[in-house]
Amino acid sequence: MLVLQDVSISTDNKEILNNVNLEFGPGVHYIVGPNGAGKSTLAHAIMANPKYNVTGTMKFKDTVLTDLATWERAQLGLFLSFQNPTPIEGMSNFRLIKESLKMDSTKKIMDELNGFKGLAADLGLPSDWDKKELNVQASGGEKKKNELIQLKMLNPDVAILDEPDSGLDVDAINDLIIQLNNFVDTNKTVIIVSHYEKLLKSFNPATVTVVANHTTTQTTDATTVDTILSNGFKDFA
Amino acid sequence: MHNASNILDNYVYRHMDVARVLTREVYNKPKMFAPSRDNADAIIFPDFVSVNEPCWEKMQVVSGSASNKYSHFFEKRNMLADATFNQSDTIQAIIFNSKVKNTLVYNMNYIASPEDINHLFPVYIEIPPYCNVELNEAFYNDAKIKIYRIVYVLREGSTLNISRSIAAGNEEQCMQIIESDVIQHPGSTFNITAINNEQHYLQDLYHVKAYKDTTTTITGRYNATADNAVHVITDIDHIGTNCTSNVNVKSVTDDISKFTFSGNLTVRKEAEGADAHLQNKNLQVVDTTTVITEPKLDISTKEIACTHGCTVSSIDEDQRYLLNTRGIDNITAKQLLIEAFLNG
Repeated sequence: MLVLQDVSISTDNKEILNNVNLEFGPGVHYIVGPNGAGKSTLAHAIMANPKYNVTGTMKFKDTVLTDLATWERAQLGLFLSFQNPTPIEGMSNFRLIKESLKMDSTKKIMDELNGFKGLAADLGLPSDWDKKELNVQASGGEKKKNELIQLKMLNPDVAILDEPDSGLDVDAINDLIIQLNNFVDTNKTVIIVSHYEKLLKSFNPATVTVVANHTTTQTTDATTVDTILSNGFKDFA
Repeated sequence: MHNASNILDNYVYRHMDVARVLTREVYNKPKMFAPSRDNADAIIFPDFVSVNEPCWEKMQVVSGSASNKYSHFFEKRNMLADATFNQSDTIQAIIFNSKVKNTLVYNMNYIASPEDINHLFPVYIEIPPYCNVELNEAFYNDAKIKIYRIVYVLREGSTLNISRSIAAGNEEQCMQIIESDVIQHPGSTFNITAINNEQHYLQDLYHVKAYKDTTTTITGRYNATADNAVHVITDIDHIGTNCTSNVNVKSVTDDISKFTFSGNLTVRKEAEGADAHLQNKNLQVVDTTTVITEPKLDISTKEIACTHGCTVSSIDEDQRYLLNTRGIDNITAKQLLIEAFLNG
């Protein structure tokens, strides 16, 4: 269970969100809201992005996250999929996985490499995808597929996906939905930030959080999505 | 005695002539060296010049002459000594066997110990026409100061690939200077990749004369920490037509270290068809280091393709954050990003 209590998020120049109180248990959760409302900011603040100042309390698995750095939260089981993943020249796609999983035996490396290649093939990526430089000269869709491979291989307890659909074509969206369905189980928490109707209609969300007007509103009423898709966000302004 | 035209007309003879000239005493004393001229991959002369004896008369080194005759002869005694910056009475020379058709791979270890009293170490290396040689050079300096002056002469159509590793020992204040002069005859190819480890003071200097249809590639990867100082100069002179050169130097500096790069590129008026590229990228891990990068281009022909770029950057925080979100701590992330920078 990921819990946020009385959380406020700001930068040095401005306040972004106040009085954020949210709970994310096992299952799929949506975060929606108008452009610029602070959805991505919320996702990054959960991961302790140093750009943001955060007050209040965040807890995960009964552990208070306040003093934990980003990598400590990741090691605890949190994962963030980027809306626009950063390229790193000189680092291969598989090298990131190898370092993240701290592989120290040849057998483990070979097993994981085979797993990586299998996932890449399932997603229609080239056979030498493991050797390609991380997100360098990759299309938007390829970058998102890379995020998906990292998600599957790191296997976190909580996955926050920041607009996983952006840059994907229709077929790729379908693949994404299939892969997410495979990933979600009774113990996993998946938090999806999205505007995309097809994606939002693909799951039965446990909660829907609307980010608007510098705060958040969380509901267990799944029909909220239909209301928003029909009427927009004016009821939350 | 051999005259100039005789040597020019017969390049094989020219090579043999150099060997003969430089090794007159040694050839007469075969017991000093195990490999014979015919069987050995290379012939090494640990002591072929004595400053007091006129034991050689001519050595062929390419000059900047506009004529087709690319040769200029040292006629004075000890000019070879001058060419190799020799202030001692010992020069190491290696002249590879022109009869070997396969690629020769040779390990060269330049080791300086604290007891080493000779600060200067001149070396002459010659690659015969149309021969391919790979040198694995390892420099290990544990002396207070060591200066190497290495002259590489690449004859027509030859290829020399060098993998150079520059290390230092426990001597805290050791200084190491490696000056490499490369003379490329027409059609020759010179490739060198140099990597250093931590050491107090290093100069790695390259001076290349490219005569026609040559290919020159210099790749340098330098790391400086603590109060280390590393200085790199590449100086490439396109003298003849259709020469290609590519300089790619990267540095990583940390703590209060210093790195300087001077990339000199000269393309003479006659050097039409030159294809020259110069790139220096520098990563400052912290902002307490000093990095100075200076490209200098002197282009005297319009028929050229030329690019240059020099940058100084710090660790990309977005990249570091991405690694953090994958459970990689800051110390490991820094090491990975440095490695990625040097590899990329």
